Amino acid sequence: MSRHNDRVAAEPALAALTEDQELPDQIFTVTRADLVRYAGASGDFNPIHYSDRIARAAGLAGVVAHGMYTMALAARAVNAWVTDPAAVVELGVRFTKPIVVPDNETGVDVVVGGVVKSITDDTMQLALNVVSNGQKVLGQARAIVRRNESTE
Amino acid sequence: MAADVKALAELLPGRSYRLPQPYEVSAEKIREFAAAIGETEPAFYSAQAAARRGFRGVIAPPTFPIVITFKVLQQLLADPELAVDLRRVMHGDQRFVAVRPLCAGDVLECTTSVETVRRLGDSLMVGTRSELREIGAAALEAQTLDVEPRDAGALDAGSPVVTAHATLLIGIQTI
Repeated sequence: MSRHNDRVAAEPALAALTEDQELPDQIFTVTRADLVRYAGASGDFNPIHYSDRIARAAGLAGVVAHGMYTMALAARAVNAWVTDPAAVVELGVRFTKPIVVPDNETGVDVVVGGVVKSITDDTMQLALNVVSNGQKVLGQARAIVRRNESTE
Repeated sequence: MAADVKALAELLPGRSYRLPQPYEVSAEKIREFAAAIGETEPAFYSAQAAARRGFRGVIAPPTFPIVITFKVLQQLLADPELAVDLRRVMHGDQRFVAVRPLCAGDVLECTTSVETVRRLGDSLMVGTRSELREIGAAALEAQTLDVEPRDAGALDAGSPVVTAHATLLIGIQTI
């Protein structure tokens, strides 16, 4: 697996996070090869995710990433922040802007930012800010995670 | 398209679909999905790593349930009675609510129902709800492991392990 320039920062412990705390941006690179791999793994073979011809016929500038791939990257950011792969109890997004993925080696960056919105005894709500090419690509993106981390 | 949208608006409410057979969550499918999204978390690949966190098998990333619910949504979209033009369907939003992550070894049934239909001019906002439930007590018995399963108390056989809410936008120009 070549994951090119993905930069997933090391994180503070889940218990140490506080309200209004900003979480470090997680930066992911998306290439056409990633979309092919995701199509196969997810079963979503909509041709707008691999054919420029069909994407353009649908009014897009070119092949776009699966919205669910972008959502999966948002979940990766959450997993990186909370360091517990079983913590997510709720994850929701609106697909507001498709991400055009160029047919080249460098692809396009997706930056996932986050802030701790609220904390209860059991859970913590994170607001996610998912941006590509300076534009917000997901709306109302949020996650609710468990605070009692599953540990060894 | 307007006439189709009107007919669809009348046909959709209350419709329900289910997988023709249970979905068996496998470690290999989870690994394939995790690799496709670039995840490196050990518990998505290694049963040992997942077991250390109290799970009986490799656990799935939070959006993995789409692999299953997408199959049922496709049944809805392929329903000949509805005659949906697939070129005019967009995924509007998606939300997952999980009691626990899906886990290799889970045998799940998936039902998807149309919850809300809102007409906006020549298009429809179709709210769907998909529920993933473990099948039978046998599946629960199979979870025996040295480690106490996490959230065992929350695992009522009758309630969904994961509920997925998806809104489809039908009838508008794709993108």
